[in-house]
Amino acid sequence: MKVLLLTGGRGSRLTPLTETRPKPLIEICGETLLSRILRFLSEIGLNQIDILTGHHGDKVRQHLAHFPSSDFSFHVVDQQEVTGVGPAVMMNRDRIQETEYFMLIYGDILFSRNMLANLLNTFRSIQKPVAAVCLTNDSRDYGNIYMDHNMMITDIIEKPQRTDLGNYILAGAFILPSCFLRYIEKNDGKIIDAFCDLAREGSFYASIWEGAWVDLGYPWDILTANHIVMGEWTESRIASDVILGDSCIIQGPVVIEPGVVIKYGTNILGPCFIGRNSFIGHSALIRNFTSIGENSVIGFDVEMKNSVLFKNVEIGRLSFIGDSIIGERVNIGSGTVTVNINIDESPIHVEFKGNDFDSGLHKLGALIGDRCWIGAGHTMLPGTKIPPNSRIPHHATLSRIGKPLND
Amino acid sequence: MCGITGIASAARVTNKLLKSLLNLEYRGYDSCGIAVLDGSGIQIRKDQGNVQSVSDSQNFLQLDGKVGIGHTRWATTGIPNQINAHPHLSCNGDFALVHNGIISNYRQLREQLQAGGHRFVSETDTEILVHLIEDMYNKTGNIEIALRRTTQMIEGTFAFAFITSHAPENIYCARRESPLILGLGDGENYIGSDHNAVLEFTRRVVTISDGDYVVMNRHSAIVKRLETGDVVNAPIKWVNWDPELSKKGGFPHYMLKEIHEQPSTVETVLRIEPGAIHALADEIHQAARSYLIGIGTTFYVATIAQYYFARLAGMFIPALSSDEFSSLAQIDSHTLLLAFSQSGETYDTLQAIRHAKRSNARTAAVINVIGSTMVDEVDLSIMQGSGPEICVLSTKAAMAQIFVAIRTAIELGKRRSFLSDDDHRHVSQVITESPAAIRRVINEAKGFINTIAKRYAHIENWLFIGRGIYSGVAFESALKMKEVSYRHCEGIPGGFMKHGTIALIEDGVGSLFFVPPASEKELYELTIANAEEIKARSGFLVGFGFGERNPVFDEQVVLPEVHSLVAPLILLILGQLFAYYSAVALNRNVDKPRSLAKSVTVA
Repeated sequence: MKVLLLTGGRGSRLTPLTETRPKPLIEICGETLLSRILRFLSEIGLNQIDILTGHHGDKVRQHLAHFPSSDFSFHVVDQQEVTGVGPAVMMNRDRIQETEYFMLIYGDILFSRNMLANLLNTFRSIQKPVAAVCLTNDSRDYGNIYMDHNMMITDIIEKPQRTDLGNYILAGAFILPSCFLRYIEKNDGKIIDAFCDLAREGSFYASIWEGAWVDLGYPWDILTANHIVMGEWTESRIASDVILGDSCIIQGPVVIEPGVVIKYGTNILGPCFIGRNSFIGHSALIRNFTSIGENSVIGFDVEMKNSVLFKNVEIGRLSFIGDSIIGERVNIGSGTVTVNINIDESPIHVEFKGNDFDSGLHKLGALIGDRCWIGAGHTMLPGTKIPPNSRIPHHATLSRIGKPLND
Repeated sequence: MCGITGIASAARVTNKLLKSLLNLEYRGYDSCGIAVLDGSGIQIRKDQGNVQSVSDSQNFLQLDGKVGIGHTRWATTGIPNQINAHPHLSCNGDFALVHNGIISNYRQLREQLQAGGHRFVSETDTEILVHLIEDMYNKTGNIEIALRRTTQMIEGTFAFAFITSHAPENIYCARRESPLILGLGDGENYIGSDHNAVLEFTRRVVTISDGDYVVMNRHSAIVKRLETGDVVNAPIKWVNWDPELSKKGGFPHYMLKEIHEQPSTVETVLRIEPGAIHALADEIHQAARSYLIGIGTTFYVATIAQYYFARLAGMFIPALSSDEFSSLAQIDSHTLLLAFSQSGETYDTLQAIRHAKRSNARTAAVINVIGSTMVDEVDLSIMQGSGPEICVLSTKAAMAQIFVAIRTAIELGKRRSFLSDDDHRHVSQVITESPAAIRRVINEAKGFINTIAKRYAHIENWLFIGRGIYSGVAFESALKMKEVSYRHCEGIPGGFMKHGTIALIEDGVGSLFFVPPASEKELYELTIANAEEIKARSGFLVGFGFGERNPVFDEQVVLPEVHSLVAPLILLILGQLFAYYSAVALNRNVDKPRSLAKSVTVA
């Protein structure tokens, strides 16, 4: 069976992190979403992968070059100006029509264990078009799926306005017949309408996924993805060459990659991930659900919790990083605090394209794009967003005579 | 309860025996085994564990035999281990036997047999059967006589089957109280504890009556009386259950599948021909007094049914637990007993029915399984037609039974002139439309239940609280929660809170409220008042209800308003789903919770 993997989305709600990369190249615990999906595909013996690229497509191509050609046969198509899932799928029409059924996967989803194996099993037992579905607490951002006791999808209500719907939604992985392209065509490229047509004909089935699942829509979904991946861990893996200083404490499952140096008195309360060749200074407190990308440097007495640091990040001494996401090659000066809660504990708001957006979260720190240089001594309010390549001077550094230096 | 199966064929049977055992696994799953006859005699493979794991470790499929029996066990006498697993072998290895039931005089028989030189290896009551048969065969040289004499010596209940190297084409089986059916194939015949054992191979089924035995080979099956040895003419039934229906489809668990089946099982109940419902309503109408009985979930079905009889027929019909029935009920020939049983084999309920019959009471039952013992024993049986229910926990079957009760209550209300013609039409209409509401809640609210269940799966102690009919919903939901999540969970009528239970409110105790629609003003207000009492003691509160959110609850699921007749059943579904998702979050064995069996056929 052929696989069509979509990686071209802009991910505009995921800024600042998607300004410099496509969503599928976001790394969770040392593995990109794309690599993770490919790993699950290879587990179920699917290795003929057609990939549609768009936003930062060159980076996807570079990433794919790391996979040995013996493992996968990739066919990469740039979707250029084409937007929307339906039209993107149609671009691959000729190749899809070579096979009876194909698997369609959205490249911005992350799930615990192998949801794709589950999907394939369901397909094998019923031999009908099938969609992975999972439960959410709110169907509004997706579509509510209605099904009967044979798991036949009877109706799909796309992005319902009702707040009292929380049920199965389409989970972004499907096995579809090649004739499905005609349904897309008939519906002017609107894929949801094509799914509805399929459902109305009584030939669209659900494959229930009870494991965890997230679609990376907003920056904080990266934290959820991080939880899902770490939630799978049942044991620790610490590379043999890791240098661990005296009086360090490690609790719970952790993954510490080769070349990591951890200095005296540091506490690591798992689950935590520390990528290769990173350096953790004296007396740091790395609390649960912290993921530190490779080649990062964490200074003396830094506290971190529930945060994702991409590669090559430097955090200066005496800082606190909580509920935050920090892009690649960011350098944060010492004594920086990411405030992660409003005083009245109200939900934290984030700005998107000039609009105020309620994240629904009671704890959220800062969202910092790639290659930012942030001076020492800052206090970042909850939900602070910093665009990539920003350069922010030290906070109110005083001269010997008491005048701010950099005003 | 245990499951037994057997196949006589012209081809190798191990594959089918394994399939059959897998389909019977819900009847018991602490150990299993098979025995086949090959050229050299009887070969046995058995061990502790579920069917697939034992089959894998013991290589069931390696055995080569055209006649074989199998067993999946739920231990009653003797702990689950390899030695106690069935089949059991006689001293000389000529007989191998599987058994479902309890032999009450086995100790005494065992001593006698031991004195006669028989060596026992297990702690089971079953093992005496195979030694007795061997003993009798050695004395008489006739297998059937040996079988019949054996059954005359044993006290208790049984359905057993054995194979013997003295008649290598045959399977022998017999029944007293425990269920047994025969499946007739094409050049291949089967026995089984129930339809699931054979449905994958054939639809032609014979129910073996109490006190009969069968001599079966691949060509024929002859049913005879144990007492006389006379041939019995047993009717062949065509079972039209789709075997796919017996399977999970793609659902992760049978329980979830069966929860999803509820709209259609309710529709099936609404299609039951009115004659049967009218007959039941007439029985209740004519009786001087009636009782509703059941045990476990079916007792709560009876409890909920009580409220419908009160509301729709203005009649108080007490619900009694089957096991307490004989201690409480006033029984005479003007008494009607209405029992609820999914399997039709429930021991306690059958005992209550027999007790009532001894005082010449009339008996009726709502039953799911065709051809079950209870169908034969009651004066009037209503088949609810819910199809096989595989998950040990009852969801769809219980829901269907409640709807049988509602239909009966509506008819009774008409007979008692409690419902006017208009009322009758109105409530009938409401009930006819209820499957749509059930379908809606299943398709629109699972995500909320899942989120709450996952988030609070760490809570080890729960109080489930409701008032009026919702107390019945709380009881049944609490039972579901206990059974499948192994969390301590108590169903409580709201009125009880102040009278003791509220002392339990502390950190780590969750309270789940089943809140009536606000249109039931009095019940609604009383329920909310209970919630306030717990809130005042800093208790953690979850609310399942309708219409508007209420700030008293820490977490809540709010559904669109439905008619007050249907509302309790909608909340019952939320209770089922909450138990289900809690169990999934806790990684429990959802379809086969520890220590439970699908139908309890022993005391």
